[in-house]
Amino acid sequence: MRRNKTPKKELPQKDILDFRFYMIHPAVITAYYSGIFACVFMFSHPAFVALILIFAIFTAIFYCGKAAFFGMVRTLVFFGVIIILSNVLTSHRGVHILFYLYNNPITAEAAVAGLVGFAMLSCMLILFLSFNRLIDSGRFLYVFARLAPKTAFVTSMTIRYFYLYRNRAKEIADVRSIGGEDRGGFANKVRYYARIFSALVSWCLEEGMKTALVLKSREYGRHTRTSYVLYKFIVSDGICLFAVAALFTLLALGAMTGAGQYNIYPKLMPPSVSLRDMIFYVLLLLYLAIPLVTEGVAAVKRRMPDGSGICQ
Amino acid sequence: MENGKAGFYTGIIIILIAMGLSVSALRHNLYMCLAVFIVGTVVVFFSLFEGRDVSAEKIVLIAVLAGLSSAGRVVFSGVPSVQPSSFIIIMTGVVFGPQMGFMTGAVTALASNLILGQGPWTPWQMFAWGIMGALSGLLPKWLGKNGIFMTVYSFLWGFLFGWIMNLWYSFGGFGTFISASIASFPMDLAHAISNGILMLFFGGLFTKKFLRIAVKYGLTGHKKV
Amino acid sequence: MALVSVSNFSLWYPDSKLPAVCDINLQIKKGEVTVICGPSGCGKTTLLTSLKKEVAPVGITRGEISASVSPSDIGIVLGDSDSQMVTSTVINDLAFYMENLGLDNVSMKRRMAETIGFFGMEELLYKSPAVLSGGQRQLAALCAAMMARPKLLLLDEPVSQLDPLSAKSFLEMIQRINEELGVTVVITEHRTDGVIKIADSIILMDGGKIVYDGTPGEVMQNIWKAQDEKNAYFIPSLAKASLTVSRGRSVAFTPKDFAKEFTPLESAEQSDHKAENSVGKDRAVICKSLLYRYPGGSGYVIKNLDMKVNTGQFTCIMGGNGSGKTTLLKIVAGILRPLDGKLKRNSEKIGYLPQNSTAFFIGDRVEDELSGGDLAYRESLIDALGLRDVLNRHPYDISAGERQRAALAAILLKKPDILLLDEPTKGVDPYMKTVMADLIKKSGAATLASTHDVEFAATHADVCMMLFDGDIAFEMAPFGFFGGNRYYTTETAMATGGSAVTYGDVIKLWKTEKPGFIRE
Repeated sequence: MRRNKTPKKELPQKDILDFRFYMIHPAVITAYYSGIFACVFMFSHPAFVALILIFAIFTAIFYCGKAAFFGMVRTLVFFGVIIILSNVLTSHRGVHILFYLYNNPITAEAAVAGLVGFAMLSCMLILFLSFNRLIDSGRFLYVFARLAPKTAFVTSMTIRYFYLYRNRAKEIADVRSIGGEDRGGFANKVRYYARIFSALVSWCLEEGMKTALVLKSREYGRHTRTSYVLYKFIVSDGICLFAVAALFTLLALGAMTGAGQYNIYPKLMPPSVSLRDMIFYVLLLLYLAIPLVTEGVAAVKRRMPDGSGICQ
Repeated sequence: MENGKAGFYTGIIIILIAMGLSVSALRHNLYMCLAVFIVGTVVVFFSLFEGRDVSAEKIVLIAVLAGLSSAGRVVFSGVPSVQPSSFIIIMTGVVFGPQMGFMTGAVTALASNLILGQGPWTPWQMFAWGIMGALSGLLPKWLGKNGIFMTVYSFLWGFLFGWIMNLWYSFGGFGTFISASIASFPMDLAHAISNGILMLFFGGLFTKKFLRIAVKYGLTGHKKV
Repeated sequence: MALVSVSNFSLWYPDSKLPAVCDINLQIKKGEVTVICGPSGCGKTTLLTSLKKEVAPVGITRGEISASVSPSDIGIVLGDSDSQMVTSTVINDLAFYMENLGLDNVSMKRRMAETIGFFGMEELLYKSPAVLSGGQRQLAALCAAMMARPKLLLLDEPVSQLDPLSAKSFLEMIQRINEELGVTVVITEHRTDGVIKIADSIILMDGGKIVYDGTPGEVMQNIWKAQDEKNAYFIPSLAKASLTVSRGRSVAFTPKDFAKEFTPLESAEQSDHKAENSVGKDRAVICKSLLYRYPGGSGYVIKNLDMKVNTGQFTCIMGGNGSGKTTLLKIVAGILRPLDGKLKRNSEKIGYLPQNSTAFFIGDRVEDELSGGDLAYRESLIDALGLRDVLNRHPYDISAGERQRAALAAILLKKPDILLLDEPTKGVDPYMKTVMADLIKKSGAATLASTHDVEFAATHADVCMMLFDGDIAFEMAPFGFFGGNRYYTTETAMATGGSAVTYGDVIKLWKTEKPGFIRE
């Protein structure tokens, strides 16, 4: 009767429902994150990249706990080594030569470029930690369904089938394991699992016919489809979306006109700081702070003694 | 499956236009050009799929095949590094045509990532598996039936898939890509061998299974064997 | 008033000469629950699906089906629960039908709110179908169908894959839908017990034709009058008992009706509560203080469990949903390793029938699993279990009951010493259940069957065990087991206050005789 459960990770995670930002409309959260991902590529100035990186680490720990972040460090080291090393070894541009390796100049410029590349990658990877927690598969598909309803539906079915088929494969393998068929060398094992898989494929393909009938019995594709509204779009979502859109537009305009840019090549120079850069730096800070402001406003409202913050 | 091919070529044209645009706009940033190309391809294929009347049978078939290819990894967990996802996607393309091949591949990637947690690699993986299915669907009929060719073809896809996947973090340019490919060589080789083995020994069996289903689902397929 | 009337309807499938259904005349009356019964392959599903255009089988038809209800007012729930749910959360699945109908958001919210309230499914809304039980999935499928507010509801074998408790709550829901909402219901089933209590009229089919038609009482009495040996299996045990005792004059379907009308001549002597472990002497399986918990699971499923099974003894393990019956069988089979305790088996020749018998087949033909072994024995198994016609078919193309029988045949053919069966009677016709029990007993293997089927256990088991809280709470011979239970027992025992447990006991108790056409 009981199903095999995958072992739960005992992370000291806070309940995601405790966060006000989680209750913001998933489409707004997705838009917000898309904006940050774009920012990672829009700004090359080290201070900007560092700010995004610090924010990414902070939100990862804030929403997912320390364990989730530190679990990723190994992956980061792997990518770090590859990116920095390969950059240093293959790019010999730049004027600050650190040393020669087999007659190839190793330049400070290449090292810094590798470092910046690694920082960008780290930003992306770490941002996805909190993104995955705020936007789980159901919420992602809900947003995705507005853009591509059929594809989202197929994907949702696929996720359902993944779990179903995994259990079925287990059932088939259980029966076979009694005869001891699962033992033997590599070739034997491949043959054994291929037989199980082939049985699973037949089973599921055949049963798909019934599912197609179920879709038809629920009049799939016979009328113009509407979609059920699972998440209401409320005023605070609107405010949040406005902040995201407005700040992002400003940032994009700034990046296009050269704010927050830094050229490593041809010659490594200390990053310049202009007034324009500083203004856009503050704007970026504001954009990144949207979740924190949301949490903060909610916390203040909840603490108001007469509840006047909420009951207006 | 005339539609599938027509759709594919429309797709190619749109992608080329997008590529031209992005190259001229982003001039020196090769990575961004690639990213636009990758995302553009996926968007084009998805919108072709959205715009068409797709029967309930086809919808279910894509979901079942994508479900099988993503659950397949779990089935083979007893033998490390053998996994049938690419095998299923190539077979889908060969038997059911490019459109089904692309959708099955892309949806496999999307669903797997939604289950295991997404990352910046999601679109690249969708592209890699999607294009694997689509190109397999464009193989001429007689090649699709040739066991030796299909084995070599699937073997090569093991590497090609790995290389496409290495691109997603190659901001640093060609150098990063080369070292990433060196680092991923053992994994890619295992993937290639597993594809080759599965195709060599079970390609015929699965073709039979898929054709039986094609008839049952009322999809005659673009290849009558 | 007839909602649907079928006149002289026949249907031929494209590749077959014989019609799947033949000259059907039928009136489905408004507001009634109609049950179409019959053995696997009698054409009941063909008839049912022909009533809704979207899912009607493709083939050549003759005759006419006319409905005074529009096609969109017909809801249908098809077959087993695994293929019913299509998306990754329950609420998406429930909304799916309404989205397809193109309803606006206000109507969707309204229907969702009240339908889910009616079904009491609030807790399940955001769950994944994979964590739901079969019964919950089937209820969700019904709920989804009700979202379209059908006037006519068609159900194809909705409870045949469910355990009796889940089946009961499903049928109670159907009854509420019928009585409170006035929805007309048509159900197909391969057995009558359970559904007969909510039926207003019942149709018995065989070989594509209607053989009996009328109210449940009429149909049962007609079978009795005709002394129809073949269809006597469709008389549920209480009805059979009441017909026997009253000599065909009156028929009862519920313990209440039976107890009102019939009082036993004398109370039977209660047998002693010790299990008469008379069958076999050698211990085939010994379990000592077994301990098991699923990795990451919340609690221990098996807790210090002790159990002994003798050679040749047919043991049934009973217990509620999730009590660990399947887990226990898997441990004995060696699929799962206990965390602690001792497991001793006198033989490694084990036959295991999984809960879902589809998982048993990995070949393309049923015959593939039925190879080798003693040829004469093989032939006798095939004939006894009625598998001759399905040997060449694909295991997924045959009915659930046929698959169950074929899997049992394949297992028995290997002559196992230990036989482990997980819900062996699921989806099996009443007649075939008896055949299966006979074959199992004849094989001489130590048999451990987990089952919810109390009638089956009461009639055929040597020993019944109750699994509760991870351990065998008590074990006894069926008479003591079911006679002493108040809730978890057969309907006959409920009706007679435990003095009779099976049909055979009723005959003894009332000192009457079993009519010749009834086979036990």
